[in-house]
Amino acid sequence: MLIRPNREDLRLIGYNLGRILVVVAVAGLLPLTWALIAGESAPAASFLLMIGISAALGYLMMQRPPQTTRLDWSHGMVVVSLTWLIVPAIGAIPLELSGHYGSFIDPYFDAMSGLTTSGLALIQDLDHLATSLNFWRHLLHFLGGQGIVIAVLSVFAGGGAMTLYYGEARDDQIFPSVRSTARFIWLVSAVHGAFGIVALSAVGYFVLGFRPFRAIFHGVTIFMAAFDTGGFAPQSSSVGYYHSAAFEAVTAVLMIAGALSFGLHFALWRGRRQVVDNLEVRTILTTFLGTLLLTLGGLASAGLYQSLFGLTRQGLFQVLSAHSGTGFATIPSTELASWGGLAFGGIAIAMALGGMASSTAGGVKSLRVGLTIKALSSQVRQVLLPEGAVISTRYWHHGWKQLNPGLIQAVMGVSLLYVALYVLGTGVGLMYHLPLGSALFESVSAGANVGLSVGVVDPTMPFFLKLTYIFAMWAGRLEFVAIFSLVGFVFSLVRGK
Amino acid sequence: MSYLNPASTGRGRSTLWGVITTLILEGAVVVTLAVVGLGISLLMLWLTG
Repeated sequence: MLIRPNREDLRLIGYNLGRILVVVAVAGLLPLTWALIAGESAPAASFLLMIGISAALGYLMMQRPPQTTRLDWSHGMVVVSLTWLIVPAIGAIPLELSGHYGSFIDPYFDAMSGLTTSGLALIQDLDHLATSLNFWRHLLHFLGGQGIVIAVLSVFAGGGAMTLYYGEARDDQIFPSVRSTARFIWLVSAVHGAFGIVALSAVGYFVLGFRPFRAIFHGVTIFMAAFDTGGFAPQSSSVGYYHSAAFEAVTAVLMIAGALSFGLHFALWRGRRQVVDNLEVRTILTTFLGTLLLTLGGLASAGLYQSLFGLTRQGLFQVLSAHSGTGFATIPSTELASWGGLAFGGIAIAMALGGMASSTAGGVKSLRVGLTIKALSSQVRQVLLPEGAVISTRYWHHGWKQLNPGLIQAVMGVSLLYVALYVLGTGVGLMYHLPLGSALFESVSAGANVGLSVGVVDPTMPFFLKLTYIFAMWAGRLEFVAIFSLVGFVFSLVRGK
Repeated sequence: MSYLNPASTGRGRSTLWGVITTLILEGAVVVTLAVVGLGISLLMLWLTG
């Protein structure tokens, strides 16, 4: 029998959503300050409106506090899934008012893409967008990549905060308390931010000849998009705009950092064994080299790049961008679409697999891929050994762990859901007569929160396809569990007793 | 889900220094990948004539 949630449940969920909206309002002060400094009055007014709406909604929701603020699992999951639907709507307000979008769904698409660190964009005339609005697009990446709820936990962590943490698809609790874990994540981001912004700005200023403000603007925005494996760029030609190997190298460091789990960030310097024996590290290295081999092989056989340096630079950057779930490109989407064959397949596989669990990357995740391979090899050994033989399979992931049927079931379940999500998007694409390759590529890009495109994602694409990709980005980012909880919650509201 | 930290920040080194070490390692990974990528490209260009 389903139990209908009572008013206390709704108050608890509303109260926590209210706290998150207040944090979003505070985050909105950053682009507002940027707009005021840059003298962009219209965007400043739109940020004020967004801050006002977010703060007012948050304040109203917090007016009826629940008797207890302790969240149980279902509350936490519902709060997380609703947060990732509501915050893009709030974040879309200044984008909608910018006049750079043709339809009301487009700014929501971009805000969802920003928050889920996907990087697919429907914005028009990006090259003439106000710098503060561009900064806001990238700040959405940063908020989403860090985990918007992490931001809240850093300030308000209370009873049941762990449910919110896991709801955002993070598995590694690094420190004894959620608040200190959230602060560690901020420390990692701050150190990488200091390095990334200084290095990218320096390349912009000294190598590319940008003026100081412009160099810093590009440094800040590209850092946020790269470290949070987002994929937005301040201009329509993505990272290809810079034509700089040095800029691409710094971006590559940040993309790798973003694709590593925050747990590994902590564990890396605690000993060599943490890296060498780690199943996830071994898996991601293997799949990365495999997809790189496919891509470079495909490009070489197609004869698209004649020079050794050109072939390596284009192939390596695109594979790294795809596998880390970033979505930066150094080539136009039309050129990417022309790759075809092995290279196209290599990029699509890299996107589908994604980065590490508990990182800012999307996709199936290396830990699940590694565990699936372990489980399959264990099955094969079981068949080959005499009947009755008992096989014990263990793996290293921050310590030796036993592979058990429950874990295998969970891993296979989520992996299959990712495949189903990719198939769903492909099916809808085919419904609109897209070529199979393009439909699959864009669907994987949306579901794995990557952002690479072969030109399908465009303001003129059908409304239902936009909705499908919005759903794919949302579901892919939250790894399904929080979404099923929301569906169950709504169902119990209607049918519960 | 796993729990990483046995309530210490590890061998007397600060967390901040640890994160900086990781950043240096990430830079080394990029250099290694570039070298490996060049090697694979060279092989592929040679194989495909």
